[in-house]
Amino acid sequence: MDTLNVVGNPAIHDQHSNLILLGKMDYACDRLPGRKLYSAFKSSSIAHGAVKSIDPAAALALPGVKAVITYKDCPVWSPNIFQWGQEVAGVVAIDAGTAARAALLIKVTYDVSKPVIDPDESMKPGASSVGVIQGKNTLIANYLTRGGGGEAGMAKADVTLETVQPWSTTYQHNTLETHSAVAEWAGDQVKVWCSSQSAFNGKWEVAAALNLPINHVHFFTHGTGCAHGDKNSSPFAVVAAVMSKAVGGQAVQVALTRRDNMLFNTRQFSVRSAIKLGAKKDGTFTGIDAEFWGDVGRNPMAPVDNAHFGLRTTYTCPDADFKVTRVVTNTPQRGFWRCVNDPPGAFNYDIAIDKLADKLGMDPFALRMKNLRAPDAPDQDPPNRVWGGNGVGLCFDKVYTSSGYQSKWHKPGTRVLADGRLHGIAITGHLDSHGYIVGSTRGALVTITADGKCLVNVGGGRGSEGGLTSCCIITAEALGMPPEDVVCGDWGNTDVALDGGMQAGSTFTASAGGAFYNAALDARAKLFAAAVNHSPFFSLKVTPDQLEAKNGFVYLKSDPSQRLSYKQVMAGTPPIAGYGTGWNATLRSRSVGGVAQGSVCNANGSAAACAELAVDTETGQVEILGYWNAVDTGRTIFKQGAIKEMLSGCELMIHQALFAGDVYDIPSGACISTQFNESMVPTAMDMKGERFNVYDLESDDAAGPYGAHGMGEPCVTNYSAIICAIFNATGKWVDPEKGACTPNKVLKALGKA
Amino acid sequence: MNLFTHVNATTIAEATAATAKAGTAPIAGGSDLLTYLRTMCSPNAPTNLVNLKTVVPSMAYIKEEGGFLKVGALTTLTAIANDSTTLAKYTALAQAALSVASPELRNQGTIGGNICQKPRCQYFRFDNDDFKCLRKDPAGTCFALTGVNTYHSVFGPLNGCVAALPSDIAPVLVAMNANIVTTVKTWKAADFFVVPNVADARREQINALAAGEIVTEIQIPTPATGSKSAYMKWSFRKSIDFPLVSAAVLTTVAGGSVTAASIVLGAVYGQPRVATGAQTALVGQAINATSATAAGTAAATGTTVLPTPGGTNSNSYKVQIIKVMVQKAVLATA
Repeated sequence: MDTLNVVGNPAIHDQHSNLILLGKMDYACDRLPGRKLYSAFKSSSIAHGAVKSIDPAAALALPGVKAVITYKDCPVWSPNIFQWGQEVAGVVAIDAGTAARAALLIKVTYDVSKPVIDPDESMKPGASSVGVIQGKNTLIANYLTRGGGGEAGMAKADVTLETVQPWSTTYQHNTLETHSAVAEWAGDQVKVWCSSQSAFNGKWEVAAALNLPINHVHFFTHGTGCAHGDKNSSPFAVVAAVMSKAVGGQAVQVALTRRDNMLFNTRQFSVRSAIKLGAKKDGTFTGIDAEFWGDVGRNPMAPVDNAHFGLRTTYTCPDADFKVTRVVTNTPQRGFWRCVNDPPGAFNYDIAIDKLADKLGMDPFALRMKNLRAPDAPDQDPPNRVWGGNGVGLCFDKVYTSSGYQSKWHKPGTRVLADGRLHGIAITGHLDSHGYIVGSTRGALVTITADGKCLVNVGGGRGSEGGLTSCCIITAEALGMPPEDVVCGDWGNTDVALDGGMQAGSTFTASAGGAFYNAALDARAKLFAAAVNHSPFFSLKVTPDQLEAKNGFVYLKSDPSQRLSYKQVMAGTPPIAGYGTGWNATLRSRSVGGVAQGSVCNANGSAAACAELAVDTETGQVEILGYWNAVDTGRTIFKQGAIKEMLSGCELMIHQALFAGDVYDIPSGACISTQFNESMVPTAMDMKGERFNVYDLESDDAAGPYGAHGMGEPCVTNYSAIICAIFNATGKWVDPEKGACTPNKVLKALGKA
Repeated sequence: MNLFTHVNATTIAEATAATAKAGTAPIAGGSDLLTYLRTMCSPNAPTNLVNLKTVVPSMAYIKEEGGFLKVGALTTLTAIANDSTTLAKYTALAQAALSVASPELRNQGTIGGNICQKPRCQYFRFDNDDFKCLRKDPAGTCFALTGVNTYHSVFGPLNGCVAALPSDIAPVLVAMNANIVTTVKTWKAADFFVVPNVADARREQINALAAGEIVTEIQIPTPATGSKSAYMKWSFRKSIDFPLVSAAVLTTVAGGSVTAASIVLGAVYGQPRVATGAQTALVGQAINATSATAAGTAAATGTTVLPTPGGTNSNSYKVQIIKVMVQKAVLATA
């Protein structure tokens, strides 16, 4: 790998974290204080049916109420109700309390249909229709056969395992700031400030919904209060714009309550499966027949399609069938989330692999290693591409050695700790469907200014830690500038930046970063062209191709003592603009390992985790004793950001394994775990940070800038390690009952509840 | 949020007069009341709040006097948890105070507020009063009885409601035979935590306070020589949560045997539940693993697991946890 000066430098901080720490980050709801109106929603009290009538008279009569809008006014709302709590109307008022109280006064009547809340019920022949797919409740997302198919593979097996996995947990990750937007009209132009992951997606969304010319929408996103996919779409920006229009263009704020956030927003899928695995006696896989069902709520297009990705790509198996089916229910929509579909998929297939290992009498880690696909081997399924960088083996090795797994693993249910609790340990890992590169639509503009520094405006939003800083780091590296000389002027501002795309799918650093890489190279070439007109280069008759840049200086390659600072070059030179776009996901940006630049490849992240824990068989409580999380970043661009992503990944995996889960009232279909204290976010006493061990490993992905690919989602996927470690401790599999493995369910598995 | 007025009371008499008016409630730390108002979960919410924190003389104090530990109703849970006398001689109370929520909420929450909080049930607390539960409306339904009841009673409904007592302090006060002094009378704790019938206008309360009656002081008798107390709390998370099962135990030992035992369960019924069988099982025994286990088993007799839709997320785990919490609490008094 290349030796780099700025990329991976552990001393570089997030450029904006100080704003957050000091309370100075501007969030959407911080905008236009003193001259905006507020809003609240009226949501449905049925889970399925249609609005018959809406009477806003009582709400409009409440002092302070300025307007009531309904589904008739708002293009992102519908009279057809597919979940409990769906928005049907909204109130604009002088303050949030008045709006909320007025919303309760709106009278709505419905034609009620039978709701289907349970996905198992939804899948049954003759089930009532959920109403979102014509004539049925299921939709086959994909069906893939490899070799002779799973059945052929089973015929070659010495040992087969057939297992039906229970539904995994579904939950909303409940960002600290809920969805929010402030919109204001000036004539036929609308300005929208929104807590969005993607300013340009928001801009297109508002323009399309309101049938506006694209240049009439000005979209801004700064603080997002965290966002993990559920803020990729910005329907509430549309609502704010509609509300503002309804009050003559005065600014209106839409800020979801915790209840509304839990009811409306996308959340993680619940996935179940029927998996058959066939293997030789030594553990070599001969066949896989894996069918997954994903409860997608009311969103039939929810992207659960890659639930099998890790099983399909991480291990070698000649004959296999993979199938994914979406199951709709009258519950909130599933959709983009932090690592959508990989974690619940891994929950399913990792348990199956551990069950097969148990049947074979093998250490499950050894079984995984027996079948781990070589890093340079192509994908087994069409179009059979190689990976630009496949580090899943690196990740497995790292957590295996650093955790001391070899000396700690034991047969399930056989090791008792000194305090009487049971000890468990497990490793899971996978190639992730995220981390790919969608750079061709990303644009970047960098400007070398008169002071010899560089100004960048990043088009993407600040969805999470580090994406913006990563773009600055890549720019600094490519320009040969010290990192402190590259500053982010603005971000998430569609008026001053090119489309940076979404900060989601673990795509931002590599995708937008590629655009900044190219923009920086463009600027550098122009800088060199300007430099040759300055002494000493002018007098030496130097041509641009003889120059190099490093640490803020342009110098002669053959004699580095002949140099000029950027500031010296820029003296008397107009600002230099560099423009670039990212490159296509499937093309290698560099020649790596003898494979040519420009050849096609996949670019995906990967990760492995080891969980070591203790189970109290009297109370069912699980204590994490150690957690090792290794992630293949391709190349770590922003070291501090990567570490924080991985640490938060540990927290999220513990949350997902042991605490999280929506709770539904079946008769009404209402999600009743809407309040923050019921979201069961683990506290510092439930997960001790000093027990987290994180490792960023580098496979040098040929597709990404400087070898990077995405890592924000792969690092949250392996919560299955905790589930498998509980099995290793107790010898029992816990049914999470569409939630997490909370102590009551552990006790149930142990026969004590 | 519900609309309300807020006035500062300067004397307890002024506060008493103000809260006697319909639609008026006292506010101390507000950590429960304000969330209740913010979510607009009840049609019975007060429209006027009377601030007790401004009352002079202050009701925030801890002192030993006349054979009692006297704790002012506005004493914060943090102050109780950190008080050396309470820790040494009234250990269960300090432990219970420390177990509540988080440091920030303990700094704000008061002992008076903790024993006057509203019921904790997802249906009762659901925003915008979307579920007409019978604790809010006598014509309503207990949705949890056959709905989501994972956190709820294993000793059946109380006045038709299966919500479990959410207070950490309440079982300790009953176990330690505390007095609860109000502007009207002095209650024995066991009588104080009697939940009014749903036909009563006070149906949302977890205690029997009359309208306008304000808690001013908690009095805990100084335990007899040879006594120790302990409070054990269990919930899914190790902090922040309301109790799912708790046990308050006070034992007196003489000559190596228990001469008196008070064992009270919290969060398993609508009010503190005295585990009389467990008390009987323990008296006359030395405190050891065998007697503690027997007490735990006795405490869990008579339980009734609630029905659940589809058989998932049952509250059956509470039976096991009662055994363990009582066992641990008893052993902690050895």
